[in-house]
Amino acid sequence: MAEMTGPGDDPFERLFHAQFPRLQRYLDRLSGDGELARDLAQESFLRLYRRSGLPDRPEAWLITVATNLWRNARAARGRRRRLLGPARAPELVGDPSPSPAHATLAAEAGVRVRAALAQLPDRDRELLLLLAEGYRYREIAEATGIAEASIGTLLARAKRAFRAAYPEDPDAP
Amino acid sequence: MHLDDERTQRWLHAELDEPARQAVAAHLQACAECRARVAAAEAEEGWLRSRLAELPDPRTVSSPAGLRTRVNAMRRWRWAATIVLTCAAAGTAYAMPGSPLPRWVERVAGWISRRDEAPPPTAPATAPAAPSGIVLPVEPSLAIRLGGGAAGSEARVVVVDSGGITVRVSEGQAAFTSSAGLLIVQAGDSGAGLQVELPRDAPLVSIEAEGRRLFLLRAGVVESAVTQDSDGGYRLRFGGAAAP
Repeated sequence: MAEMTGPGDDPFERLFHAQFPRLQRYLDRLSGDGELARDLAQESFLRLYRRSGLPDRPEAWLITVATNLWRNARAARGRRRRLLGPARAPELVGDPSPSPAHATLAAEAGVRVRAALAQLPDRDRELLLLLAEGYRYREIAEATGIAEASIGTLLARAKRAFRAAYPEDPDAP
Repeated sequence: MHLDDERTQRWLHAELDEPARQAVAAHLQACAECRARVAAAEAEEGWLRSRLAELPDPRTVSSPAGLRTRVNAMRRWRWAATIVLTCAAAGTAYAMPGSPLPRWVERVAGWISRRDEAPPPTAPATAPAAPSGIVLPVEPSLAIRLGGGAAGSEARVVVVDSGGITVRVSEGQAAFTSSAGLLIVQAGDSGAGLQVELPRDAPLVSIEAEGRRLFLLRAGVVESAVTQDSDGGYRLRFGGAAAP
């Protein structure tokens, strides 16, 4: 287990600068909620900082914790959505259709991608986004709980599902 | 055997171990069908990555320092909560019927009040003054001026490996006045014994008395009018005049 040392040569700071942006980007694309993504990424690093030392594979540890935090947040908001009723549903996280405000601000292409991602099963969405952030199969397997030997097969299916969910595209292969 | 999805994806993502990679490479050389399959998978991968790249990047505003501040604030809150809970628990335990705590508190209070009422000690009214001293950080240049006291006052100077510049009163009394680059030590009327410790890495320290330089430490080298004693110290005698 790596040691956390002083600020001059601090493994935590190095890890933060190397991993925080891609963890935040993964959560942002997974949740469709930039503020929540930043909070979850920070919470993941807080939990890492509060440990007595870095785990053996901190990147895998971080995405596992971050993915679990996201699932918990989504479940909590899902419960709230049921309590609040359908009138409040559109503002909630992970909703397949982005809000009008978001659609205005975001580029049209980005909105189409988010909409296609939102139609995928959770596992497919997580697989594609982790792959896009450059995580290795071993890390993806750890974060998603899928056997590492099946990651390639499931990735191929997830890609096909995304292609089917995406609107007609003349550039598509 | 043709490539399946698993091996095709692993080939694309460089996730095959070396023997498997070589086997797939050899198969691809011989099999046009699998080459076409890999090319299609590569095109699909490129298209997917282009689509995902259309999502805007979130703005990163966090820093490790910010996280640390949050952790420290949480720790302070936890400490405060622990103290409040402990006080609440102690109060509850005190107020509970049948609790032995009130008796214990009473016993301790009685013991303290008996101590307060005890007759004053018969020790002489003029107890010896507690040793005093001063510690200064190492400066580029420092002059220590010794003065006052009866003739026969003595400062024993030793050079040490680290620490600040220390002057302790081992006998009698002395007053200290310090300003930038200057420390004035005024021995009491009955004289004083001083212990002076100078770190070896102090750039320049001089010790003077009655307008004469008695000791100089410059870049680790000592120049002194007196020789070193057997314990490695320099005994500087002074007294009988006020420090300028």
